[in-house]
Amino acid sequence: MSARRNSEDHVSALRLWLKPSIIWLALLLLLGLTVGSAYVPLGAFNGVINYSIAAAKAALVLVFFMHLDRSRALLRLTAFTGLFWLSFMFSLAFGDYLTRSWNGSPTALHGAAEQSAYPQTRLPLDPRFGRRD
Amino acid sequence: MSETSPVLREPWPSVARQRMAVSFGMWVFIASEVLFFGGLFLAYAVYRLLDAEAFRIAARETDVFYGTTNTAILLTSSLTMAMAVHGAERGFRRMTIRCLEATIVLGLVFIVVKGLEYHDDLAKGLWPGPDFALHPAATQLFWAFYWIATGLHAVHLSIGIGIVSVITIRLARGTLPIQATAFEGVALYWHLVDTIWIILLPMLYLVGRA
Amino acid sequence: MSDGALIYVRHQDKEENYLQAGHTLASWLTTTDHKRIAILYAFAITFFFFIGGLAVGLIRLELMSPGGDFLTDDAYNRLFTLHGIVMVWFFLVPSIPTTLGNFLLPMMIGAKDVAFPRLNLMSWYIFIIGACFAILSIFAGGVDTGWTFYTPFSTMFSKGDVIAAAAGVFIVGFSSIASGVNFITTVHMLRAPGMTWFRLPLFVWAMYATSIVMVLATPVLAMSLLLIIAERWLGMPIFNPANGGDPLLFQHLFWFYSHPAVYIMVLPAMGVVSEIFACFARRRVFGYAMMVYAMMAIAVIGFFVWGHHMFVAGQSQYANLVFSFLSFIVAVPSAIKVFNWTATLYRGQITFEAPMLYALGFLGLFTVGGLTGLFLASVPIDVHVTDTYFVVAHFHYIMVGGSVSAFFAGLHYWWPKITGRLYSEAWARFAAIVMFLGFNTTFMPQFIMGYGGMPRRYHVYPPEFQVWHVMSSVGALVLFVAYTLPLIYLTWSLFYGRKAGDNPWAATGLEWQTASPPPTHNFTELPQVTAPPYRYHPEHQAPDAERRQPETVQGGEP
Repeated sequence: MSARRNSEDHVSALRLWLKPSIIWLALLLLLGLTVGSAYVPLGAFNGVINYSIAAAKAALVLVFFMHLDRSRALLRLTAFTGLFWLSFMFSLAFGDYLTRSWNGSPTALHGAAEQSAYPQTRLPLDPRFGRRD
Repeated sequence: MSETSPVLREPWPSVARQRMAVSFGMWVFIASEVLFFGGLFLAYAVYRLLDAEAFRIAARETDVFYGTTNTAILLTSSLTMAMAVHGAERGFRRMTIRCLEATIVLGLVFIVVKGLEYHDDLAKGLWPGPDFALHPAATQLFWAFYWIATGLHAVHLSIGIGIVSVITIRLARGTLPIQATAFEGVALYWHLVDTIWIILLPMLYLVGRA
Repeated sequence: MSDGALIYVRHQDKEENYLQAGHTLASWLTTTDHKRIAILYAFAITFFFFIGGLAVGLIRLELMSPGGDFLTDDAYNRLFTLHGIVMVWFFLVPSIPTTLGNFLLPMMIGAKDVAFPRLNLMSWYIFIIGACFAILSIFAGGVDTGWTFYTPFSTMFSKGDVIAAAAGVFIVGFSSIASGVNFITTVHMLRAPGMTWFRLPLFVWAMYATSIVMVLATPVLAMSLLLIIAERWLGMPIFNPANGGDPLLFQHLFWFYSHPAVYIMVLPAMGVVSEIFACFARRRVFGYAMMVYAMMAIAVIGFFVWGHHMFVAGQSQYANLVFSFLSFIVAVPSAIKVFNWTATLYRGQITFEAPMLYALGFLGLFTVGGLTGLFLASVPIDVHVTDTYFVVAHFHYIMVGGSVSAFFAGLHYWWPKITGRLYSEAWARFAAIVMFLGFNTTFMPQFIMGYGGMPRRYHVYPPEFQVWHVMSSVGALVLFVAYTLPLIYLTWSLFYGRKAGDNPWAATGLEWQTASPPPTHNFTELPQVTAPPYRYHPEHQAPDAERRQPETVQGGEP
């Protein structure tokens, strides 16, 4: 009796592995794709491809490993919330950085570091300021 | 109305409700983690915008082999963690323990590989400071981001390994029942750590390769 | 008074209340009872309130004369930084949510505890650990960066123990996040049968909205502080212009949290006064649904306006326009709430117990603070008054005139429920009036001198501002009296106060349907809810003045 139970459990345990393993293989495939495509010179498209693939991998993990496919609507909404809020941060912050040069506002320009009067890193920098904490 | 079960905790009226709450609570926490790393990603994105060339020069020094290997390790650990949850749902105690153990081992292997990578990075002089190996100065911004992001991720992973170890030991000893609501919550955290790394991979390892 | 709207089984008088369940220190330090945890928090925040108050006492003393008399520049910088850090993160942000919120939220929804009681206790311990770091930095001489930790001063040039201070705030941030996760889960998952979302008391909605902000905003603060610590401790160049770093990036990250943080500080206050206006005007809250939508709108839109703290910091003019516009928009839901509170009072049977006095103070002072916020949202005006006392007055009107008034309102309103004792109504009314007068004496002159150009964070100033500073300092002394009085008479009431019944205010709400103090599990029978909140009179009718009960103070005892 218990031996049959064990073998039934054994079989259903193996069947449990099937779908997740397919997802895992898909993830590894996407990994190979993203690393491989990084070496193909496509200019700005490299970034687009890499981040799209990363989003796809994340989506696979979220939906299948984190069970969003069988979760109720509340959990799906919650899962989406972080990213949604992040979009506020990115859009408004980039609204500043992308428009800084439009009207001659001061901006951190490429090469500004070389012209900067600031000392480079590591404290203490100026003996007048005394000890660090 | 109120059931008695080794799994049920105050103040929950039913195990089903408790189980849902653990998942929901963990998702709410995950939202906060998304904002946490998101702030860091904003810094990366802003500096990439401001000095893309320096980022390209800096990013070429990361080691793709280590990065890819570690990604594969973490993806596999997500598989084993997901399987642990599936096993727990069906009451397969031994399978669950084995999968949790595999997750822990994979997590530890990641840490070891990361340690080797850090050693190589330091040997190449990639710690920001007066002895930094690259030019121009803005390349230090990328590497500051690298150390902070991977360090934070390693901290999160270590916490995950710790928590998974605790529940594995308790499950093995019998002090945690197989129907406990903790497994799904811990698994969600683990997958979050994996997802963060999935996003870090293109940011750190795949810039400026072509 | 409760009618058939709530089906409830009367408690047994013999059941012990939550204060009697364990008398040892260990029973308090290992408790998972949300009510005991609320009291643990209350001790912590009261301690920090007086530390922050001590700092400002010294500041206001110094500011009574135009020269730098008994404080050096450095000492002054450290004091206003201390005042800001302690008051924001160790008093105001936790105040209402961790004390009143912890105590009342489960009771108001008919639950036995919060969703994760052990996490709740852990939140308190995390708070204490963060507090230890803060105290460490105080003993190390304090920090001179201002509570805003602006870079590159904080990362490269400040001599204070910035790392300890930043670490302390970083750690208490996680206490915030944990509480937020707990409250959100509690409201979603533990409402009693029949307690639908639109039957929730507005205090619960306020806690829910606050928790959403805590969970989504605080992590960004944590990251900004972590980056400061990384730059200062590990030498990672992040905000250093010599490496192409942008100091303004720190401000983006910092204010992305710190603006929603002010809504963390004000939304709970709004929840408290909603409960109090309804009770002491014997009226349903006017426009309940709009009050809910307004709170959620404040919580969400509050995330879009952070750039108004950076109008003159080097942000692009176009970003300035966008943030300014959005800052005007965020005022709309707050205004809706002010109108609705006023309409709630209209034709009510208003009585002036201490909670109502504090709440009425909130109404006026919050309105002044909110309106001056609109002045600041306008870029042309902000260019002149930013970094002056105008800004200082604006945020103190909201945070002190608003949130602290509401905190005292709630403290007095729920004191009988929490402690089972009645406080002295005469002393409480006196203290409320003294606070209102002291507050305005302190902060109204600051609007005037700020508009006149008095900069903030300066202790040496031109003599023409002295008269306003003296007024402000005298007002601060009055405020000190007003804040100390409750400490005295509330403590006195614990030992000698009259015992309170279940519902001394004849208020609606599940928390009033159980004993004062409540039993450990809040209710002996699970409440069932069949009606909306605030059933002070039938719908679409004003309270009947003919049949009004004669004014009964705290349960009718003379």
